Amino acid sequence: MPTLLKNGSVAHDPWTQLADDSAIPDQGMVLVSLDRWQKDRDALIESGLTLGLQLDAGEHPDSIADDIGLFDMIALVFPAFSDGRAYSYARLLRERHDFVGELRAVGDVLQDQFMYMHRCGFDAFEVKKEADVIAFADALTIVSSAYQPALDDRRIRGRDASNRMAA
Amino acid sequence: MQNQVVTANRLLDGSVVYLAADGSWTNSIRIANIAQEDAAVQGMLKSAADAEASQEIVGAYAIDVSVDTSSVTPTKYKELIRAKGPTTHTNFGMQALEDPTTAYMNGV
Amino acid sequence: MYRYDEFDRAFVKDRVNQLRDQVSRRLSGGLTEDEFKPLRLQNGVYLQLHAYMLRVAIPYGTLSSRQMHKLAHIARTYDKDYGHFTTRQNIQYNWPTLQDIPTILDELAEVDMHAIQTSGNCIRNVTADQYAGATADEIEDPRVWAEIVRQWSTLHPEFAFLPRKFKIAVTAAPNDRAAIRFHDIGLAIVKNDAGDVGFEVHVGGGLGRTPMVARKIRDFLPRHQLLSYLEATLRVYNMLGRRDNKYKARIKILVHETGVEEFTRLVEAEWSAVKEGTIDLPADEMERIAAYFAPPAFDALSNDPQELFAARVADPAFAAWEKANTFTHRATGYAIVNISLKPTGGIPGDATSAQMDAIADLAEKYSLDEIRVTHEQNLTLPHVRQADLPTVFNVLVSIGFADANIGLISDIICCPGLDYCSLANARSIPVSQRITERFADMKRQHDVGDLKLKISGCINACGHHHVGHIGILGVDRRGEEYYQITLGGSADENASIGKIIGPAFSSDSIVDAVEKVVDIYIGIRQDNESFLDTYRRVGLAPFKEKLYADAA
Repeated sequence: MPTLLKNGSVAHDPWTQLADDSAIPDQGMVLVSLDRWQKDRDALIESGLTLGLQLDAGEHPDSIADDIGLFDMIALVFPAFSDGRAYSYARLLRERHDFVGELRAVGDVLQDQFMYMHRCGFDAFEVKKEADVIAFADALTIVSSAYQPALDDRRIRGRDASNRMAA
Repeated sequence: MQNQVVTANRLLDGSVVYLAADGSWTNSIRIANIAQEDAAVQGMLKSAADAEASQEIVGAYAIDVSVDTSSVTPTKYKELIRAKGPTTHTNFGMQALEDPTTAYMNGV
Repeated sequence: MYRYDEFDRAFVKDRVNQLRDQVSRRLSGGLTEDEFKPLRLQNGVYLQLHAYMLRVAIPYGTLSSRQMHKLAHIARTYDKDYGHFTTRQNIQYNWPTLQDIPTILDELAEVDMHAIQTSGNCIRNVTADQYAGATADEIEDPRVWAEIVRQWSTLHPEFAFLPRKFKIAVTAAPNDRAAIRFHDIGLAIVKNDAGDVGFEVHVGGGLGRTPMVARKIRDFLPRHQLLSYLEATLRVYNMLGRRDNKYKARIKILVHETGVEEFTRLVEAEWSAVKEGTIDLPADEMERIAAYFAPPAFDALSNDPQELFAARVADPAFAAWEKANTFTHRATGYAIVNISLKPTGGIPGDATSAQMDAIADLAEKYSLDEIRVTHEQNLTLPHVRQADLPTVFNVLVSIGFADANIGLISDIICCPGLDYCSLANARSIPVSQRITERFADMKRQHDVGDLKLKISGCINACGHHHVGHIGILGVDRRGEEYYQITLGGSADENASIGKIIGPAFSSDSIVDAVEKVVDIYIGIRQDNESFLDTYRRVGLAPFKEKLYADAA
């Protein structure tokens, strides 16, 4: 079982993954695949459940652009850590679609990518290796400054002294 | 089956190494363990997998060699270059430690 | 040139510590090779045929004498006393150990150098015209933008795991010396009718297995919006570039398969949103960076000073060298000096630590402390007083880098090939050496004239053979080294991809074949046609027919 890190600390995971062919439960926080969402959207909305969506690599967030406000959590899959599509998906979700819920990195998630993920707007991580869980806080700031603004608040080259992005 | 040895690169310095009979990894193909049957090769590759898991070597595979009383010579030219060193710098690699009159396959 | 401040230094220092930690975890088993490999590649560390290889970044090919001395020191201390200057204006070392690499990076950091993103599926070194800032024929110094793009792309969190490597080049002169049309993104600085400076944007050029000339996707991009446009382009590529096949993963394939109109539409659509954001540089930051590239204060000198006249008369070798290896400088009384790293029988682009130190001293004394690396594996001293040319020449003679062969047949681009590279099918360097020896007679070389010959040891085309006037591709035919000849490639603003002339030649016969091709050209050329001119006039057929005419 991977460990969930949320906002920098180990957290209990309240979400359950709803298999594509399982019945919609009465209660709980359910995480559905894009396929399931596209098939049972109305039923899921009517259920009143707290909803989460998992997007695989290759499943562009634009496909659910109008529904973003319905999800409390979106999980983006890294099938291999070298598949970097989810970094762009994350930024689009945060910056283009104003997603404010939990944005979770799942799959091949290693400490050497935490900093990039955090800067792209991920705030939750499912981490397989114990050593990576322990290293999390240090990994976020292993390079403590940056040359381009992103979704975090580290010191950026060329931006004003308060580190806020230029207006 | 052609005679084979198992080769890899040493993790620490990247140098070309061969699995020797005593289980150690050597830069000198001359003392590499020669396998004459598939079962022996598989055993050597398993040994290599252990060595990779303990951070000694990386990227092991088997190669064909021809063997005579004084030398072990890879069949593929690329492997000959790996065994001896670059043809452009004959003072680099294992060739610098061996008989300087040893010629390359293509004679350059 | 750009000068680091404490921000830049702290950044590089952090990065070295990150790599040091990763090496340590690799050695203790905390990272497998599969997990470690992309991380080490993003710090320029390859595992090659005989050893690790470290590729050090030389941003847009510009370095100071202090930095060159450090590169020499590293060659001497941690390697086998030499380094190789590459086709992307970097330097690589062929024999470092993994253990030493963090220490080497510490040393590089002392002189504001690093190996960040010189490999891996990320944005690589941004290259530029090696004459930038010194030539009269540019609109403005392209290195300002190369530096701006370098900073933006460094540890960009969204683009660290692209489908494949990504290479950007910038030029600002009508004669493209940076081969922008064979880059993933090529930027040409242009002026619109109103006189504003902006970029012509070309996307999807490349060599390798599927050579393609880039497509122009925008005639004019206002210069202050460069970063947002690049961000949009990279984002489209990151999301849509193929990830199923390593050999179809470059942006050139995406442009080709999507179609340039649709691809452009996707980029422009993404850009319309991105440009409203905060990625474009504030004007004062643009100016801060541009200020580093303000032209130096050149002295008021005259052309053709007395020292020059005297030397030309006294030393015909100097006169020949000056003619072939120097280029017109923007400031009167100055010259751009090309240092040929292609001596007869030598290894193209290689320099010993002693040679590097001598060049560093030359730069400090005679070139306002600046050196450039060219994408053709040579070096350039950009700001030399004409009066100092004889002195510079004499030093180059003493270190063996005074061959008057810039742009001639012996000025060969050559990849490391099977002697060094684990991807290669055939050796390339020995072929280069033998060709230069065959054409050792300088009179003959000058008679042949401009001829760009490029050699690759495999289909990955790191020797740029596709864009050689004569290209040579090494192949493995039943375990033997064979060489295929292509003709008519060109990497400049008249971009073209070479055509295979016919069956490949054995290692024994390839040099004869090349000589025959040259003789055929001499036999049919008209007026002052260069090799490429003649080829473009007559096509492949006459060459093919005569080359294979008496094949046994």
